[in-house]
Amino acid sequence: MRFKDLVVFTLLFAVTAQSNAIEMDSGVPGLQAESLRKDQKYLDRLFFDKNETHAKTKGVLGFSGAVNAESLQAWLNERVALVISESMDLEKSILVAPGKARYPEPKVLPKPDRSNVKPKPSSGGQGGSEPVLVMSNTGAALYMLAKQNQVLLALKQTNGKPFPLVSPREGVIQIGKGLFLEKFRVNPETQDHPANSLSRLSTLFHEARHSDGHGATLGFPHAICPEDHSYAGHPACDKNLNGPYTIGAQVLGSLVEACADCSTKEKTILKAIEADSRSRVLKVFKDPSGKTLHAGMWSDRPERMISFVRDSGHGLE
Amino acid sequence: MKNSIFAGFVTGLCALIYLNSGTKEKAPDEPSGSLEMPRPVQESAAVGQSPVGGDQDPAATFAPVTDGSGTVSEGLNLEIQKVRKALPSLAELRNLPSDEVHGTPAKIIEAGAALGELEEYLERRPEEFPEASRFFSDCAVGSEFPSSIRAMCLHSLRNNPSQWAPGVSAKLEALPSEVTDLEAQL
Repeated sequence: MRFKDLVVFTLLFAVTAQSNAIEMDSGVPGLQAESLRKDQKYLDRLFFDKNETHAKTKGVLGFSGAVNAESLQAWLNERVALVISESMDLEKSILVAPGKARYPEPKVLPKPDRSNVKPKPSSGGQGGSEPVLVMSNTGAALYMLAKQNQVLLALKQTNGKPFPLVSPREGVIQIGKGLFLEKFRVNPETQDHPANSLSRLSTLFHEARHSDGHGATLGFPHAICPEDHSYAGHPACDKNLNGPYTIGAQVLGSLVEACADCSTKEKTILKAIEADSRSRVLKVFKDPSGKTLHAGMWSDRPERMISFVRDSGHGLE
Repeated sequence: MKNSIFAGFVTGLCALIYLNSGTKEKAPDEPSGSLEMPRPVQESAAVGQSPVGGDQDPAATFAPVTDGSGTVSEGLNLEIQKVRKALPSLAELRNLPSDEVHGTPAKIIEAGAALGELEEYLERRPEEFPEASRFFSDCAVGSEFPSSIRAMCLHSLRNNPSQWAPGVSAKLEALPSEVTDLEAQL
């Protein structure tokens, strides 16, 4: 790697490393961006008394200190750097840096889970309706793609600036109008009601967990739910005790306890969401040979590209 | 080079569909709660109930709302009827497409809303909890319901341990651990 290239790349790292707040791509619709900012402001206002729920939250999030608005925000900020809109055309927005990238455990990627159960396939826009995106950890998916191909990818933001995807921890979260649909609101009256904020925050914490892990656990991938499960055959379960469904549920439990603005009805709906998430955590499961296994905690140590040697005379494609 | 990478990207996204949290807005003319793919419900034999098909009418699980003397308030009866209608069956959930089950399906949120309204009613009329406890216990033991909903019903009972109607306690003895463990975490 030439010195000039090294400087350029170091600067790219610096751009993302110095940021400690979640950035909104300018392509995110104004009302959606505003709601997400309000959600974070609402989190800042919550008071977290010491109790058993928060102690469990502390455990699954790996906090050394107390659970409070500041520590929860910091956990999110470590895993989510940029929010993009579902309208961003990823095919046109992915930039490939000409050169060779080196990744840790280069041949180790999560293994797709297998199942004999055939679930109903994705709606795929059939029947006159389109699937609507709620939220997706696009950064983790793109990092895996870059790792598979041993290249460095960057995302061209709406303002034209490249956002290098050197680690899933440089979290890029894609949001869609599904996140704000009335049928998913806890309080259908207003999008920015505190109870709706808590539900969206729980989803954000879930997706943020996909920014963690390494090698076979990269992205904390979901597992196929077993035959006797409510979501049998769908990749909508976790085979660990600190994955996205646990995180979403546990944080939601803490948020609900801290929510003084939530009615009994709203708290019950949020509890139902928590129960649904918890029901997806497979504490005991069978491996492909039929052996019974018990789920454990996965390391949240993230992956990061080791180095990049740039081809001379090229910019980002 | 970009083209070849992108071919991989499409493949990559397919492999990484678990990261997508999509859902589908229902078209106005689309039937809801279609039951064309009934699946058997696997319940622990220890529960002591006959196996219930996932396509069974969930409302059939519940005994009539009565205290034995035939006096159940109209208000409570109405609230319970609303919950009964809102509770999704396992068959309904299992019939949802992949892109609707990564996040909490709207059917669970609707059930939570109906349960929440019942909870609010009981906050105003706590003396009616013993009658409501019969409904909650039927819901908790209903093997045609998802474990999350059964755990919610059990949770309501556990929050009011001294107000159970006669027979409720015995009914809950054979609950499967997936329900009791889940409730304990709420």
